[in-house]
Amino acid sequence: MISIAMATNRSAQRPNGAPQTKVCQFKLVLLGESAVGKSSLVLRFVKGQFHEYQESTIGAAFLTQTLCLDDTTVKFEIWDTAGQERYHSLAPMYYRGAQAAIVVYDITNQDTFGRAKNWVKELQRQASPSIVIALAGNKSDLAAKRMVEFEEAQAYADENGLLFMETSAKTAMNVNDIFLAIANKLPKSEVSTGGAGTRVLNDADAPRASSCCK
Amino acid sequence: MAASNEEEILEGFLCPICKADLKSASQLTNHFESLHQEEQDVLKSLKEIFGKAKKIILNNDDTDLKETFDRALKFSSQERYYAREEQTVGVSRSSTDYFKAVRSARLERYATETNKLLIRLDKLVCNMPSDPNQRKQHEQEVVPWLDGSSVKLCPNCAKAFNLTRRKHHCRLCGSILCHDCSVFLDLNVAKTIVDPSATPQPETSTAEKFGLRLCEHCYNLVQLRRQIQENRNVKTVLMSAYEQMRSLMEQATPAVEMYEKMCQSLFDGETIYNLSDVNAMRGRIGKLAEGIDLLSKHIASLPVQPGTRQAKLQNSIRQASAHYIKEELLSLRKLPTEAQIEEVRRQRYERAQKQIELERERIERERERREKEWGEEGEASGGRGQQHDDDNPILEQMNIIRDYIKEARKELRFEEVAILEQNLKDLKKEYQLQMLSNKS
Repeated sequence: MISIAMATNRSAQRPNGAPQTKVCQFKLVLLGESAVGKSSLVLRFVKGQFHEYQESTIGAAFLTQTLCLDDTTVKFEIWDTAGQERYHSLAPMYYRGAQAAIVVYDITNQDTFGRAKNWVKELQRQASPSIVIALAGNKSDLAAKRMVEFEEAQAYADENGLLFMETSAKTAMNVNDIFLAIANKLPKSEVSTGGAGTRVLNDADAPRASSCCK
Repeated sequence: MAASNEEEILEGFLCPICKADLKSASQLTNHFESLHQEEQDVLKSLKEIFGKAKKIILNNDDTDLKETFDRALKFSSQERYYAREEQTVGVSRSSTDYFKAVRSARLERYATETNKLLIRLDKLVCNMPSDPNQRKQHEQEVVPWLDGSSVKLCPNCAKAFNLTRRKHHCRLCGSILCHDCSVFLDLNVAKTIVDPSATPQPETSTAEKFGLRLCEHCYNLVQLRRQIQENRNVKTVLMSAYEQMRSLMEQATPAVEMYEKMCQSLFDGETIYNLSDVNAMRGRIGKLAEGIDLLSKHIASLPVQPGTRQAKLQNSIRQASAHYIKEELLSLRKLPTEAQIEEVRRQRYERAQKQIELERERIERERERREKEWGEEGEASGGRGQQHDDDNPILEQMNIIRDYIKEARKELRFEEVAILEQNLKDLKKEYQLQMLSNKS
């Protein structure tokens, strides 16, 4: 008799034994003009917070966040760079060896979009050829003051093979989605099981070690 | 029985005043009424009791109770006699069918009622609109509300409805009740009742805060159902202990991997980790091993009948975990001593120094060669590039990273320490390159 009610359960329960999940680690870097909302995006993604008066970043901030996909756990090692020009020289250290980058611009400021295009160019020239680049048009809650059209940015992203989303760190719109889209696009091969980050570290280690010994 | 002995318990038709034993109830009443007239007011209640008893006795046409007593006495002694002898089973009749018929009728009523309520609850909760007006309409679509025009009193507490005591409806059966008699079922709880696999969400928007208004009857049925559900999902002691143990093991495996890595790095003379870091990691693994050991012992010592499958299972769990601890957690590599580390580091440092020396000489030679080739021209670039150290963004960033490392180290997040140390190294290299390029 009571089983009738049980039939109304809409979702079947998962089997108890959790399957062995792969763990992948990726280095991700945020780039873009200052005050477009890079730190706010990261803060929203990692801690779910938003500060109206976010202080400007000095140098580069480091955060980690773990995402669970179907059968893999993706651990992001996030480098949030400062947008100010004087820190520009640091950026190559962080996009070098990164598997993913988010280039951020502010949809209410046409200049920041131009700057974002430059960042994309620089990444395409100097970063790893397999890097996954995402373009984020931030501050989409201020659509009334929009200066960069969605279609324009989308067309640019399509041309250059970038992931593209308009985001808002303030309302959390598309914030998790863009990180999730990146995680899905990243190759999750067996090699990276031990942490792609560590693999990259080893690569960097190798030449130095050999030069030391001989 | 006279009150000759104080310690003896008095029995019989005793007068409550003079304690005389009056043989029968009618005699006692007569005695009481004739001799203790004046105390009657005080003992009015007593008299009433006796009056009642008298009436019953009179109705039975059994004025003299002696006979009755005798009969009762005889009867009880006979019974005692029978009880001692073994009885043969007489004619018996099974009442199971009758019991089942009664029981299933009751259960049927209960189960259908509960199911009806659950189906309604499911419909109610499923597409509940957040707007109050729409919500009311939705509720009435699922459960027709009783017309309240002829209901003057709350059917539950029988208090009259008026301006302050308004009529309300139970959202599951549609009956009328007052606010005091209503019970509220939290919407999140309701969701878990109709869909146990859904995890309860902690969202509490203001519109949903109040929950569903129910009458006590429906509430009890739904709650009962919830209890059954919860009981079914209750984990046994063995299971919860085992799960705890597994989670400790899951923490231990990466900890051991990390330990090995850190150990290797120490032996290689790298400066990413300190000896104290590795010791802290070792301590953590020891704690985990201790926890696993305790839990598995606890599992093995759970009371169980020997020889059953459960006993076997508990034993195997204990053995497996003991094996795991021995093989994986206690076979950790020994740490190098402080002196060993110093030695390895010194060697490494010397090698690096030599390398730097060679590099510098090479650059020096190159510059001399260039200066010879270009003559005076090189001097022009000598003045630039002496940046102020505090101003250098790379130095600034190095300090930031050092702070991060300190923090990560404090919280034993050694994976992060490794990443950050690597970055610090990169930064140093970058800084040296910058300095070199400024010089040349």
